[in-house]
Amino acid sequence: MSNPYLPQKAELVEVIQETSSDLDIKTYRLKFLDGGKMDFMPGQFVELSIPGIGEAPFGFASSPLNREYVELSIKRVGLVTEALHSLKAGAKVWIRGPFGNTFPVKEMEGSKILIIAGGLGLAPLRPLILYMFDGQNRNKYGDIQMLLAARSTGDFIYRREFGEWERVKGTNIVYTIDRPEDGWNGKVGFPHILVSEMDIDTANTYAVLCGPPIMIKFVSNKLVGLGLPKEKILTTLEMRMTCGVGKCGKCNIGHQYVCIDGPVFNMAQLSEMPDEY
Amino acid sequence: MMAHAVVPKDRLREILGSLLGKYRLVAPVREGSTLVYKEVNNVDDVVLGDDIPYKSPKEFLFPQVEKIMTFSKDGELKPNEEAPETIIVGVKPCDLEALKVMTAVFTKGKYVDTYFERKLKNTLLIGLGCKSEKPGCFCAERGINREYSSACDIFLTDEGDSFTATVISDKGRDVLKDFDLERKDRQETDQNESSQAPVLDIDADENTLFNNTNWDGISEKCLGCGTCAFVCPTCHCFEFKDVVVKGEAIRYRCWDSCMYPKFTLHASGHNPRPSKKERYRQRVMHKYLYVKQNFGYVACTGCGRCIRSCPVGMNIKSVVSEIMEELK
Amino acid sequence: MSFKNQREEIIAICKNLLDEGKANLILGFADGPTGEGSVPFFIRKKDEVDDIKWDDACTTNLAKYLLEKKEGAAIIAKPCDARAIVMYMAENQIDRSKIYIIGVECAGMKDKNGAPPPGCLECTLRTPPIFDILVKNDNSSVQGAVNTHDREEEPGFADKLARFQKEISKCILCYSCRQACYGCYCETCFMDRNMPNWLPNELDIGSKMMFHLGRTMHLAGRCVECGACERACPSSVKIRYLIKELTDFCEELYGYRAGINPDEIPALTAFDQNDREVGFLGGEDDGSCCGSKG
Repeated sequence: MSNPYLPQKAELVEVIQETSSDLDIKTYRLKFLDGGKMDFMPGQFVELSIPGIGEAPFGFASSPLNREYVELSIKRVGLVTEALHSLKAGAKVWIRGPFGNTFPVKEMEGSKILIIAGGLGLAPLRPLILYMFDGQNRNKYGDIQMLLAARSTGDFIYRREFGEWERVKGTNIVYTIDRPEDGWNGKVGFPHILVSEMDIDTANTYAVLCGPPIMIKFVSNKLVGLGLPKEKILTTLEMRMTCGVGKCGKCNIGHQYVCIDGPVFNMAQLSEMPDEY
Repeated sequence: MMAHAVVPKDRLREILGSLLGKYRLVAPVREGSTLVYKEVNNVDDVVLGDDIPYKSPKEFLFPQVEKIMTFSKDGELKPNEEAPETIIVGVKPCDLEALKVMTAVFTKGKYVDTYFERKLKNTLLIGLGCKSEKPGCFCAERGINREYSSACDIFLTDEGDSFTATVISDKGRDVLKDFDLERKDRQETDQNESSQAPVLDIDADENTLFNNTNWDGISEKCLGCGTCAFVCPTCHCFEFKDVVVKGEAIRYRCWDSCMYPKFTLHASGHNPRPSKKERYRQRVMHKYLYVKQNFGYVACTGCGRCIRSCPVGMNIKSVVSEIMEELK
Repeated sequence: MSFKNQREEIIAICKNLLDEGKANLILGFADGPTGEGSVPFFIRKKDEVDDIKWDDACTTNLAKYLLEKKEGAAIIAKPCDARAIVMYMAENQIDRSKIYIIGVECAGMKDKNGAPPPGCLECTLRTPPIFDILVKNDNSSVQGAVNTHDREEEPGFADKLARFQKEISKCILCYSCRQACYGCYCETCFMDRNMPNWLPNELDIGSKMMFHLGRTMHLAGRCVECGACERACPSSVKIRYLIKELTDFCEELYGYRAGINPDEIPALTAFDQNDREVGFLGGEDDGSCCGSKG
């Protein structure tokens, strides 16, 4: 068996500043060197190393069908991310993966899809979104509705792509921010309130949520109340991780390890798991 | 097929002495008043008695601080795959059973910890039975026979002037084959694996145990010092730490403990286990439920070290007994 | 009064406290899990009071639990525990009005081999410096006052270093001493700091020295000499002697010993222009500081 802790070398080809408020989220576009590659599916994550500083887990944020590069969208919060934010294009980092389980893209075929994302929560959902939007896959899924929420207009990530997404066949996107702003024509208000205004075919929809824990809690309760089965409400969890392969004992909730049995879970599974950790 | 040999005690010392050149020899030695498993250079230091070393021998397969890879100055990655040929002699049955648990955790499942696996492959385990229970020991309640375990390559039973060496594995047989030893016939009073079921075992629904037990009261005394994890033969949680030395970055794997307040601290500042109640609950449930569910073993072999070392007398045996009472 | 009589008096006091509602929680001692030694005992109900242990095996320092019991508690305090409480008050860590101190005079503890445990040998204090009620002990022999620091026979620097390194090499950096110590209550210990990463936490002699030297410096003028650190250590490292040197030094320079006088401001918290400045800033050099003058 191969050593699960050995990373592959990658080069930063581009660094994109995502948010204009706080400036603390950047998207890193990475190319594997020395002939390396990493095939992954939506929902999975990597462990990224900066030698001498440390290692941290990040979800893939780019399309799995993209063979040229992978992208990670990262917020500056601690030791590794601080060091990462000072890197420029050309810098080398090390990545190992892919780890974790995936969104059940096969089971989701034939259903309508509802995506609700808050702030940086959009990042781990982007591989799923781009996967479904891809020409080869779009017809396998029904109508796609998206509710994208952010604290303010400066906090939306991937804003440069929204136009393209809106043009994808059978797709409807609603944007919302917390408080009114001059020049803003989208919605104002929290996702769990706005969800009631949406037309959801509860018998035939998969909902995928990601964002602040409180948003996930309120929105999923709302959806369950509207009649969506718990097995079809999916989310992805984050935890402090070290090994990423279920050995180091950091990320477990009950007997399940977020790095092996997750990070994708559905609400039925989550309601079986202990509330706190 | 198992073979038995009679080995007089000084003959054993001779044998260990001659193996010392080819192997790293680890054995219990006395350091002041404490007995500890240590690498030895002189067989006279080896103590093979009834006492149990205060720490487990896990650090020779899973070091407290282990260099796992190096990133050179010019950006090359070199994994550290050192695994010296080692003999650990005098390993008690509780520690042998505990190594079974660690082996399952590190080598079963989708991924294999190759560092542990490599070291295990290059290690010869020579067990030694206990004649008496020490204060705090509860291996019997955990279904472990303190006089014998077959979870090793050779097992020694103290017969007074000599040891009966039970050769269990091919690896054990190979090591002893060049030494002229007196064979012994199998006797009726031969040791057998303990087939008694553990008396101390929790059979409960995870959520019930999680929510309906008085974890606050149980964990009240705990200081969060982590000594229990350090001396425990099955505790295996770890953390990676990078260090830069002369331009080279070295990645170490270090022991960590779920009892430390910052074990699960996220960079955002959020801590899913903010108080000792959550942490102690995690310790007990991980050992008695989660490892059992994921790997088939209870990660506690009743060695009693945590009870003896804890500065405030936290007692996992009484905690588990209380829980079993409540569940009835 | 012997330990036995003291125990009866303590039990009466505790039952009274619970009856009158003066305390909801009493911190005391109980028998250890292997029959030896003592462990902390959290008493909330009257029928638990009879299980209180009080004898010469009650070495645990209970003061640290006061930090997490914000709603207040009563505590059975030996002189060393009471010193820790005095320091908590001086450092603004507890609300004196919420604590009821059952001060107990101590004739000295014994470890399981019958010898004085760490701390007791040098202890000169029989009566707790602070209490709400006092349980006396008339045993006339007080353990302690053994002066283990002899300035005349000061070993050289190289010998001091060798002794320190030899002792500290047994340390496994488990941090039990830190968790057991009353004075180590920092939210994030300097050893755990990540940004910046003060210490690589490797298991070499450098890290061990750094931890113990750092902790010693942080306890300068604050150690209450209770011995909890050495008792907690699983590897039997004799860690106290270096801290004791600083404790003695602090008394020598500023006439201050931590936790003895509840009204005193700790020496290293207060500044007075008449304070002696030894070995630096052109101050006096009594030859005890290592290295050159000035």
